Amino acid sequence: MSKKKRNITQKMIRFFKSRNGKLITGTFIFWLVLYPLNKFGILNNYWMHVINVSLIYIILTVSLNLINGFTGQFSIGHMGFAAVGAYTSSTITTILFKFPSHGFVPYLIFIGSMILGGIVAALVGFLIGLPTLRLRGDYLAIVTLAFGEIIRVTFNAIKFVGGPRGIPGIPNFSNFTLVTIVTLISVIIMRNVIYSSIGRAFLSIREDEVASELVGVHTTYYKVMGFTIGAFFAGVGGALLAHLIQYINPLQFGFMATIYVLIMVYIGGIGSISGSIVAAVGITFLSEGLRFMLNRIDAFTPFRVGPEWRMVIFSVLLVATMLYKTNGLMGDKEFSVLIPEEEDENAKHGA
Amino acid sequence: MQNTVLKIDHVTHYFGGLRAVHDFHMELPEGVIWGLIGPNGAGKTTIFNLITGVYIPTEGKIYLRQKKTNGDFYLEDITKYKPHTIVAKGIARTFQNLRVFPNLTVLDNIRIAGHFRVRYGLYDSIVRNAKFRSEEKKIKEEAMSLLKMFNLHSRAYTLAKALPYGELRRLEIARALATHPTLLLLDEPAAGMNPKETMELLEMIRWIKKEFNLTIFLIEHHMKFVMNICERIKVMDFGETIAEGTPEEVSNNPRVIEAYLGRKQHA
Repeated sequence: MSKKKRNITQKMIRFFKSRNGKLITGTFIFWLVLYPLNKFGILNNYWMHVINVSLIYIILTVSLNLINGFTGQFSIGHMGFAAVGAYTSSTITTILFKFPSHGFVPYLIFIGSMILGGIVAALVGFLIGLPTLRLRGDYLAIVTLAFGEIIRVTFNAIKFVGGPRGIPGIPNFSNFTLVTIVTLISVIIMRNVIYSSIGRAFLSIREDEVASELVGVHTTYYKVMGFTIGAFFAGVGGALLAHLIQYINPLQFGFMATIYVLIMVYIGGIGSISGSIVAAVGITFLSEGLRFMLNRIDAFTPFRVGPEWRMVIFSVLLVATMLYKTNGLMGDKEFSVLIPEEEDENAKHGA
Repeated sequence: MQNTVLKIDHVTHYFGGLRAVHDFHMELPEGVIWGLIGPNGAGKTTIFNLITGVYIPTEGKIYLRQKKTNGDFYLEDITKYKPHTIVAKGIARTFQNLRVFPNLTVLDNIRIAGHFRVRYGLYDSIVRNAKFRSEEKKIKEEAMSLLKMFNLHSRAYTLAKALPYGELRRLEIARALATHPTLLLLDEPAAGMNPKETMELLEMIRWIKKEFNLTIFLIEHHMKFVMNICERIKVMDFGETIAEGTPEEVSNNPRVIEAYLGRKQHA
C-alpha cells in the first residue's frame, strides 16, 4: 500500500519536473493569479476581456505560423477560416440558447460547436488548399487572399446568418477559464505536431521544396495537411472570439484582421511558437494601450490623432522588425518549456 | 536481364522545342559504378531529373527493379511516378549545387530523409504514445549511426548552413543514403573540391558502394575522377549519346575528344 503510494508520489514529482508538467503548472498558476484578481474586482472586466482576446490571438497566431512560418506557405486568408469557425459555432449556439444560459451542459454543447467550427474550417481549408497549394510564393498569397475575401463575402450574402448585419446576441461562453484551457491545449497540440516527423516534413518544405520531394517527402500532402491543421485552429480561435465579443459580422474577418495576425507572426518570429505567443499577447496589449495613449496625444496635436493611427504604428513596427530584427523577436528560438525534452539539444542547435 | 537495376528505354525529352535528350538508352546492372560525362548543356542533369521523376519524358520509358514478395525481381515502370514515390522505390540522388536544408540541424536533415518509413501518424504524434516514442527513438538512433559513419556525429546539432563545404557534401550523400536506396545517383560529387578532397571522395564512394550494397550512377566533369572510378562511361553531347564504353575506350574515342576539345581546324 505504502509502496503504491510512493509510486504515485514519484510519478507526480516526475510529472511536475517534466516540461509538459511545468507548462501546465505554469498556466494553472497564471490562471490562479488572475482569476481571483478579477473576482475581487482588482482587475476590471475590461482588462480581463483584453487578456482573453490576447489568449485567443495566441491560437490564431500560432496556427498561422504553422502555415506561414513552419511550412513556408505564404497564406493571407487566415481570418476567413476563423470566420467559418465563428459562424458555424455561433449559428448553433444562438439557435440553441436564445437566452443567457449557464451550467455544465450548455458549456459542453458550446465546446462541441467550437470543435465543429474547427472541423468545418479545416474542411474549407482542405478544399482551398488542395488546388492552391500547387502554387508558390506570391501566387499562393494572392489566391489565399482572394479565398479569404470570398468566405467573407459569402457570409455577407447569406441571409440566414444575418448578412452584413452579422449575428448579434451570441451567448457569452468564452470565459477566462475556458479560453485558458483551450489555448493551452491548442498550443500543446500544434507543438506536438511540429516536433514530430510531420513537423520535420513541414520544415523541409519551407527550406527547399524540390530537395524535400527528392528525399521522399510527399510535399503536396504535407502542405495540404499543414494548411488544414492551421485552418482547424483558426476555426477554433474564431469560435472562441465570437463567444467572447458576443457579436460577429463579416467585416470583422476581413483582410485587415488577417494582416493583424500576420503582423504578430512576423514580429514574433517565423517558425517560433514562443515568438507567436509573445507577439500575440504583446501586440494585443499594445493595441489596447495605444487606444488611451493616442487619445491623450490628441490633445497636444493640431490634427486629430485617434485610435485608427494604431495601424500606422504597427506598420512602422513591422518595417522596423524587418530592418533590425529580420527573424522577429524570437527568431526560430523557443522557450525551453515549449520544447519536448528529447528534442532539447536539437532545437537549441547545440548552442 | 535478371540483374538490371535501372532500365532507361529509348528516352527522349523536349523542353518546348528544344530537344534536351534524344533516344537515351541504358541498362544499368546491379552493383556497378557507371558514369555519365559530357560538356555543359549536354543533358546529363536532365537524365537525372527524368530518372527521379522531376520531369516526365516526352517519349520512352524508365524501369526500376523491384522485389516481389516471393523474392523474385521484376522491372516496374516508374516513368510517370512522382519524385517522392520514386525515392521510396529505392532511387536516391544528390544535387549538383548542394541542396541540404540550411536552417535545420544536421540531424534533422537526416531524419527527414527517412520520412516515408515512419510508421506513426498525426494522432500518434499529438498524443505522444508509446508507438510514437519508440519510432522516434529508432529514427534518431538510425540517423545518429549514419552520421557516425560519415564522421558527422559531432556536428549533429549544428545548423547545416554552418558546416564547411566538404562536410556539406558528406551530409548530402548521407541524407541520400538515409532513404535506404538501391540505386544512388550522384550529380557532380567532386564539384568544387581540391585534388586531396577528390581522392578522399573517391575512396568514400567505393566504400559506400560496398557498405550499403549500392549501384551507383554518377555525373562528373572531373575526367581523372571518372576514369578512376567508373567501370563504364556514357558520353553525351547536345542530348545525343556519342560514345559508350570502358574509360580507355571512351578517352580514345575521336568523337569524345572532339566534343571536349573541339574539331581541328583545316585552314
